[in-house]
Amino acid sequence: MWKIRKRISEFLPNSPPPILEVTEPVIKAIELMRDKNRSAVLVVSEGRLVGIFTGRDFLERVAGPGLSSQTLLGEVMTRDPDTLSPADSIAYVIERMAGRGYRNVPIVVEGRPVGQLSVRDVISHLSTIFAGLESGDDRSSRDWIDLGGG
Amino acid sequence: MTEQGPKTLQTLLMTPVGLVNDRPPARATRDTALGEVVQRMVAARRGVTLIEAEGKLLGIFTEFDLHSRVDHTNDEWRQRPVHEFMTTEPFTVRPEQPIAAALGVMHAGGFRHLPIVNAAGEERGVLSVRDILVFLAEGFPEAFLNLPPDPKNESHRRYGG
Repeated sequence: MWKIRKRISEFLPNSPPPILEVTEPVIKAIELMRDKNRSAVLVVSEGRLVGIFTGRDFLERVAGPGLSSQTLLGEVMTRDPDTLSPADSIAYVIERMAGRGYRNVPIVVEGRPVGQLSVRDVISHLSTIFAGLESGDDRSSRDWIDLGGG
Repeated sequence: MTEQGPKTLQTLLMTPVGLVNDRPPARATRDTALGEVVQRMVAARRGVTLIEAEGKLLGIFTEFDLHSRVDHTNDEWRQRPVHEFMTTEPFTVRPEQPIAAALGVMHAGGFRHLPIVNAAGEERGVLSVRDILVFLAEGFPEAFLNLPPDPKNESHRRYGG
């Protein structure tokens, strides 16, 4: 069997993830997503991750039901989202997205957010590898894929 | 096992886009009110609406556009026609083109969705980055989907035994 060797830490953007306090209104979150060109914000209380608010949450929980954009994030975010650590394999991010339907996965260290990976981040990196495969250069794939047994 | 993984991956990447997914997008015409477009996206559980006229694609409106292009300081947006906010003449992909080609366009343009349009110019659905990820992961369940639920339970020994 082959498995993905890359770790999440190799994918994290250099800039910090968009983060807001649980007591901030939704309008702050959509402004931050727009300014940072991201599709989710991580929601914290006293520095610890307590939720995530995504573009899909805005569509389905705020705009759809007709709530005000002044609604507090704590009322419409997804509480206690699944998280991963920078040392985990990127395969777990793909499993969360493909198998569980998440579009964004928060990355934390001891409960504090250090990053966020979106489905677009993952596909962007994969497309580079795939371009190498198409051209017949599989060195990039060897860097990714463990062809050893086990 | 030797090169089987990458070769199989290559085969998957050559799969025509038209075979990847058949989840219908939300659809609307250029004058549909944005509030109604939002309801259609929620009902379809898709983050994208194709704006069309007589089967021909006019534009695309996504959940990203909803929070990035629309003024949400009041509720006036709900009555505005979607054509004021849609992307006109979006990049598209043909159903017979390989996934690899679609990935390249998405990567280069930073797009999350690509409308599928056939040679006659007729709209045939939409491909999302997540559709591609699901397709690839289902092609390699042993690598992506059959993982321990918690990575802390994973063996980190490179060679098993």
